[in-house]
Amino acid sequence: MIKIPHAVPTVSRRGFFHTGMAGVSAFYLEPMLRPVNVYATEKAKLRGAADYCIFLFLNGGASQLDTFDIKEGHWTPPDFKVTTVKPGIVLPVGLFPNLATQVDQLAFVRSVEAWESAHARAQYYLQVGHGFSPARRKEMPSMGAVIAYEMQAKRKDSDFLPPFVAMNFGNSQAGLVREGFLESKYGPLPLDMQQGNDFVVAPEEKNRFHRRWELLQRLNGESTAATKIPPIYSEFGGYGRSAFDMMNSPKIAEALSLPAADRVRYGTSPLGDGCILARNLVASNAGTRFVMISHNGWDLHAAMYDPKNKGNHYGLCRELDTAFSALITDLRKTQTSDGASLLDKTFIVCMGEFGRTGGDLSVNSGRDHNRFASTALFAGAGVKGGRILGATDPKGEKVVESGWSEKRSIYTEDVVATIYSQLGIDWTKKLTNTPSGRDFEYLEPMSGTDFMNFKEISPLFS
Amino acid sequence: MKLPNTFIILIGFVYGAAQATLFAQAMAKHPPEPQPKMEELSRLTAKASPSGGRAAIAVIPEKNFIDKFIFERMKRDKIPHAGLSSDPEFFRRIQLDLTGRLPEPAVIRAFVADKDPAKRDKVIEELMATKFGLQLAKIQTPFLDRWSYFFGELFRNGTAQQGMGRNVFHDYLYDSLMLRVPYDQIVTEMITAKTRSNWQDGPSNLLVRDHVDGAKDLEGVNNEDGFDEMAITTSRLFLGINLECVSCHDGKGHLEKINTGLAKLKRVEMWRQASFFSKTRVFRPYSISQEFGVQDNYPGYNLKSKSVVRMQRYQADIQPRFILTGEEPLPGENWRSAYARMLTSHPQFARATVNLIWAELMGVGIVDPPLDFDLAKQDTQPSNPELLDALAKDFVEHRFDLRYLIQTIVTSNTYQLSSGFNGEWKDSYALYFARHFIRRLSPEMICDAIQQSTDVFEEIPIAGTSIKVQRVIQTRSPEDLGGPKLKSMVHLLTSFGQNNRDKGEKETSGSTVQASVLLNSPFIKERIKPGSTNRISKLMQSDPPKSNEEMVDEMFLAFLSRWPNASEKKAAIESLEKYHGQGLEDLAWGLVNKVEFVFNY
Repeated sequence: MIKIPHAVPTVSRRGFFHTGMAGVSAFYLEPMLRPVNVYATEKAKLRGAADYCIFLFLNGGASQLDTFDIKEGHWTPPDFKVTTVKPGIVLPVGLFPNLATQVDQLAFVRSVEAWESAHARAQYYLQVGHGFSPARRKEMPSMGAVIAYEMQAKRKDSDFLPPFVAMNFGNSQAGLVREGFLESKYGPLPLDMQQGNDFVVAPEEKNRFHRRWELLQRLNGESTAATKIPPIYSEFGGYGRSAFDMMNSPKIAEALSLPAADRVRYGTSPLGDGCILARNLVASNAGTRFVMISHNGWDLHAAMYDPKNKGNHYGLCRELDTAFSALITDLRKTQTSDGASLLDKTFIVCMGEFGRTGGDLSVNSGRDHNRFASTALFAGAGVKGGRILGATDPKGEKVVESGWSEKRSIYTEDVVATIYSQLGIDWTKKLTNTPSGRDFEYLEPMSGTDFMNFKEISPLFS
Repeated sequence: MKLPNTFIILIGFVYGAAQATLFAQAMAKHPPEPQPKMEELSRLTAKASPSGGRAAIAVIPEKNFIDKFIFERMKRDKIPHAGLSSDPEFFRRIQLDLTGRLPEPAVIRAFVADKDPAKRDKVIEELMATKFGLQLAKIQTPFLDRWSYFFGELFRNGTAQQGMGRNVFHDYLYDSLMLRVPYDQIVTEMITAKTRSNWQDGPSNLLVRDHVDGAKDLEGVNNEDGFDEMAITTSRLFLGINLECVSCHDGKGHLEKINTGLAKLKRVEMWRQASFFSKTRVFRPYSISQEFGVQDNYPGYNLKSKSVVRMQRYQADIQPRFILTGEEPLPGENWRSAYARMLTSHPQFARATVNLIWAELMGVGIVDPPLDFDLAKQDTQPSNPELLDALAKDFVEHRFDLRYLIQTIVTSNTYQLSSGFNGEWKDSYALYFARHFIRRLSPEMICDAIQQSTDVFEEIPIAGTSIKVQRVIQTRSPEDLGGPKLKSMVHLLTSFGQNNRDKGEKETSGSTVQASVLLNSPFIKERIKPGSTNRISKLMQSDPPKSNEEMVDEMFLAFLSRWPNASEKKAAIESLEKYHGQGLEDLAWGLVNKVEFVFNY
């Protein structure tokens, strides 16, 4: 019998959402054609400083005290090179040599708390800004879909890219949350850097591709003219046409290309490749508004610093450092038509679904889940960098200073409100006439609490 | 249990024969409804056009009791319905539903040419029959592949949580379907399984799959959380009731708009359902992360234990109590046995099961979503309550025989209605099953359809065995699909929303990415390129040579299981005349990209 080491205890990936695998329900049989009623309080003052948002999602939950809320103790390896890079800003320069030179662009928020401490629920929360509800799972749209829905009015005729692009969600436990009850065009375009994509037709295949497309149109000739096409066919045919439009655009190859030199500069990792694409998508100014990239592997319960553990903390930090810093560099040096830099128009958020336990490493030489403290990084679109908000205790486990005028920590809802505000979206809105009959409020109280006083994190900008 | 193959085959023969006898006896007790007159049926099938049936054909003959309930209701409410499916339409549908595979052109031609008025019943029999060979490995039918995949997916069978238990669980399901083990027995075996290792005992894997890891327990398992999961899974899959919501909070004040039956339930009632598992210990006997024992020696449900997945518990009376009847275990009765007994003998077990199978075959459940029953609305939630009850009663009377159930549904003319509808279609007709629902194919079936229509197959090794298969539907779980060789296949499958059996959701909606895969994936382009041995090259080399028209017919049959209409034929022949072999490759590409290719209609 093969003996393999004892499992690292984790919260079981146990098909948490219990959905109908045979869920061939009327819900998908016909496209949703439900009128949506919109109500807004219009109480929120919106910043509207950003045209785009790029969200780097540290999937699994990064250790705040081994990264951007570094707590030195006897557990800290010397090669972290904990250094004061600027008065008041201490970083493990050994892990983040490149970001350390860019702290002027970055605001560090060390007072972030999550509501959940199991991956699936917490990852869902971060994507949706709402707690997971089995009853509302099917209808709840993710933050990206809401952004796509809200920014539809700004779409230009020439836009050929989808509004919401999500990358590298293949292995995530919660999976990628889609558009819920909103129209399917607001759903994410999922791309996986390791699998590649089929949107770019090789130059030598272009003639053939067009010849074949024309044949397809002729094969469809009679049936498209008839009125008897079932809606489900026309819907799928619509995806074919929008895919063709994307593929047919002369700019698509550039937008989805990964130049070899860039790949090296961004670290040759799925995150690095994703950041190159995010840069390209935003620089194309062709309809993409929200890009969420999942950086997988942060759930380090064991052998966290162990060089024998491929994919340990060092490797993840190196990937993040290389990709994130190259992204900032490139966005800064890219000019938009009105003379501002692309970084001035792009709000960047970088955080995980929760933080990790502090102090000494666990018996497995790792760190377990801890929802009571984590760090989020913000940059671009008016963020005043080089600053730190909030503080945790010496073990890095609990928030002791909120860092803003509120006497509480910063929650997911506050982050979502900030993203919406930056993009000019009224986060006090609600949509009614949902399939379940329950209103969908862009932000609503965490189930079981009456906590409702969400705010955008305004000190980021002043 | 290790038995020599020959012994298993012997048992298979004996058991299969016994089942067949029982089945025959049952049939004798419940003779089928009178068959329609020969000439009537052939008139109807001949009249149905290839592009879809005619609306409101006066009379559709009743094949069995399903038709009685469906057509009487439509007659009562004056709902027009589609005509019977044409032969090619029916044939593609029945092949996909029963086997997950497309039919080959020669088989389609033979079926359409067959003048036997009972040919549809005959083909159903043939597709479902298990052909016994001399070696166990040879006992394979596409029907068993497709339906063990269905149950494997339903029970979330995979290696990530169960290791090699995945293979024995698959074999258990496959053998149970082959031997026509009654479903109540399968469910009882899964709920009551005891074993030293799930790698040795197939049915134990259902409960093992629901273990919840906990940091503090020596065996790394949080048993209390596991009890809740087991109760949620078994209630949902076998009773069609989703207790997920009330596993955290009472239904009142939360679920009134969603499910009035659940709104009445209290969290403590869910605990009492979970409590049937509270003596069950799931543990790791060998310090191997995915190998588990299941025994009945746990001290009991500890409400003070810390939950890692839901709101913390509080003190309450949590003696086991069946949620639908209030029944408690008999003195001295094993609690899991008691649960299995109550669950499988409750009418809701049969109702939920027939509804689940109905939804898989018909595209939409009589209650839909199929595992979301509202028990406070038993008379109004099902679109046809009488039919649901009749199907459940019939299923019980036929000893929970899944094959009989499947056969009954697909034999009905309700199932065999066309998806085409001439006339003004109203959404309200859908609930009457006035035409056949059109569904996107599963990711696995799309992948296999591309392989088969191009006649180029991958070789897929089954992890932990020396078996190699060609079709995704023959794999045990998505974990079999790894390595650079299968990269474009995996991209296709994930783009079409393959269920990884972890988050447990199969995507069924379309997307731009899916379209881009069909338009430009190497998985398709490589299969139709010149120089490879594929359907195109075989067609080109056929002896005697085929005319352009014959080749076009053959391609349409291979890809879309039907003949081309006039304008399609014209376009295709022009392409062949202009571009020759290239034109045939273009045609293959065009047929994969015709929307109906990825649909079961």
